[in-house]
This record gives sequence, C-alpha cells and structure tokens, in this order.
Amino acid sequence: MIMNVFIYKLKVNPNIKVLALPIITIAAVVIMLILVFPGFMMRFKEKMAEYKTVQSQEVALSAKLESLRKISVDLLDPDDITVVAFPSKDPSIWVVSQVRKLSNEYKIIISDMSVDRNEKDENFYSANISVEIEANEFPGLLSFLKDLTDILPVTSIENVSVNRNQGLAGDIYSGELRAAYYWYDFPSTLPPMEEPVDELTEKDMQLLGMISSFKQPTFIDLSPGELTDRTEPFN
Amino acid sequence: MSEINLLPQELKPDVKVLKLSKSLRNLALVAIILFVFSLVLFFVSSYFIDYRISVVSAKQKDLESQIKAMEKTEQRLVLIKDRLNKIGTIVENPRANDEVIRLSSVTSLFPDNTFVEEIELEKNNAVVAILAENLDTVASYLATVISSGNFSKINLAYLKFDPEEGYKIGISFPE
Repeated sequence: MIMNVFIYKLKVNPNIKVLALPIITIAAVVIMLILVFPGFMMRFKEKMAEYKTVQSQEVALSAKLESLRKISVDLLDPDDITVVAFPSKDPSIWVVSQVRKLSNEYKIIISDMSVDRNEKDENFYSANISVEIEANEFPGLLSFLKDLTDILPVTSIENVSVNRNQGLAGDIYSGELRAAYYWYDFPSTLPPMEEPVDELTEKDMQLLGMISSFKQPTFIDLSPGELTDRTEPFN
Repeated sequence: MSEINLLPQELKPDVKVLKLSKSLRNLALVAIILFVFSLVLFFVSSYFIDYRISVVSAKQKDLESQIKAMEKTEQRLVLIKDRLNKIGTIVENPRANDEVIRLSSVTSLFPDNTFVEEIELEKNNAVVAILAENLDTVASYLATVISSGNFSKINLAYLKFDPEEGYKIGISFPE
C-alpha cells in the first residue's frame, strides 16, 4: 500500500508498479543467496571435514586399543630378551664375558683380546672384538666358533683365520677371530596416539624364537650390604 | 461484493503484465520458502553435526584415556619392535656366522687320516685346507663334498704336495 502510494506519487508506469514488488523480492532473495550461501556452504564443509576427522581418529583409536588388548603379556616380559640381544649401552663386558665363558668350556686358550669401536652406522653403534686363540684340537675349536654364533648380545663373526702348527705337545690350532657386536639407544618417543599399533609380524616372531635359543650372558646380582662401623678409620 | 477500483483508468496495468506479476509473485514466494527452508536445513544439519562431533569427541577422549592406561604395554611393544628391526638388519646382512655353520658341515665329511691345516672364514666365503696322506683320500674327500649337495659352488684354491707331510688341498666354498 505504502509502495503503491509512493509509486503513484512518483507517477510511475502502472505496469512497472505491479511488477516492482515481486521483482524486488526475487532480487532480494537472489542477492541474499549470493551473499549468504557461499559462507554457509563453506561452514558446512568445514564442519563435515571436522566430523570426518574426529570419526576417523575414533576408528583409529578403537583399532589401536583393540590391538593393545590383544597383545600377549608373556611376550612383553620386563626382562626382555631383545634388550639383552640388542642393548642400549655398549655391551663389551657382556661379549668379553661370553667369549671367556665359551673358551673355558671348550678349553680354548685366549692369548690376546682387544676391543675397538667402529664408526656409528645409520641404525646402530658397533664395536669389534679381536681374539687370538689357541686350541689343542679342531672339534673343540669348531664347537667354540659355532657357539659363538649363538650368543647374546647378537654378534656377527667378521672373519676367522686358523692354522695348524706343530707344538711340543702335539698339534696346535692357532689364529685370530674378529666379531662385531652392536647397541643403540632405546626409542625415546611413542608413535602418535592415532597411529595404529605396529604389531609383531611372523618374521618378528621367528627372530624372537631364534634369539630366545641363544646363550644369554650370566648376570650377577649384587645386593646392597649393611653399613658397618669402621673401627680403623685410616685402614 | 465486487471490488471498487478507485484508481484512475490510465493507472490500470495491462492484463498481460498483471499475469506476469502474478507469476512473479508466486515465484518470489517459492524463492522465499526455498530460502527459508535452506536456512533451516543448514542450521539443523549444523546442529546435528556439532552434536555428532561432541559425541565422537567424548568417545575419543575415553579411548585416549584407555590407551594411556595401556601405555606401558605400548612402550614395551615399541621397544621390542625397534630391537627386532635392528636385529633383523644385522642378521640379514652377510656375515661369517653362516660360514661357521658351513665349515661344520664340511668337517663332518672329512675322511679318516685327514687333518685340517687351515681355515679362513669371511663374509660369503669359507676356505678350508686339509692335509691328506695320499691322493685317494683327497679324491674321496672331494667326492663326498660334491655329492653332499650342501654347496652351490666349490672352488679348488690350491693343491700342494710335500713329500714329508702329504697332499695339502685348499677348497673354498663361496656363497
């Protein structure tokens, strides 16, 4: 009505007058759509993306929790054999102890033993142990070498060179062997929460079985002793 | 009761324009309804998505706390995987450990009256030298080694003769 009066007062063509209101209304709706719709669509897409992200994270977390629940507690023994097999600190003492133990077992005489650290590899640190050996009989020497391949920490024989010599008490097999052993820091961070659990594969289980059959170093636990009074302070 | 038009006749619009105007009004009405409907749809769906996000987030937090409670298990698993990966790298690389096993299979084939003179073991190669009193023993040894089928390749490194000691034969067993 107001518009009609306004148009009448302006002496607008009556055809335009009857068309003005619907056209203006349609134009207003179209303008509103043009102005509002892209913003709404963008917000809607963002919300959908957020929803998809949280949903996929929830699926990943559920799967991870399920995997963690399935893991056998026996496998994760705190006295983990894999840590003995591949320690975080230089295991020279363990390796020397293992070589000594085997040499006693097979009556191998060790005339010299030395340890050299190697350059850091991409995946681990390593060192070499060089041992000069003497044996009175070959089968004992062979057993010594064979057992040396099955010790923990994991040891790789680099080379062995043995010759038979004539000694006063008969044949002597003497030579040198060099073996490498390894260590590396423990992983310091856990994978991100949403990342799936990297479960043990068939190959891992085989490796675990293999190193479980290896000879572990003998550890001696020293329990702390009671403090005693020193009657002679300078002695 | 009929409608009385008080407007002057010259201000009366054409019939065609009136029809068009009516159609446009209907169109405008539909546009307004659609616009309002889409607005309502947007707000309802936004609210629904927000609600779903809050539900999933709450569940996610619960799962995270459960996983956190099992952190020790995960730590052990990560540690074991890390150690096993490293051990796997070492074991898969060529090393003379395999040659020691091979040496042991060679020595089990030694005939009587032979002595091991020398052994040289390195990655992918084992050289064994034996001392035999006569050529028959050497031939029998070689025949046994070859027929054992344990070795893909056998190289004769050397064959020496010393009148005081006998025949010294060096054989290498490359990978």
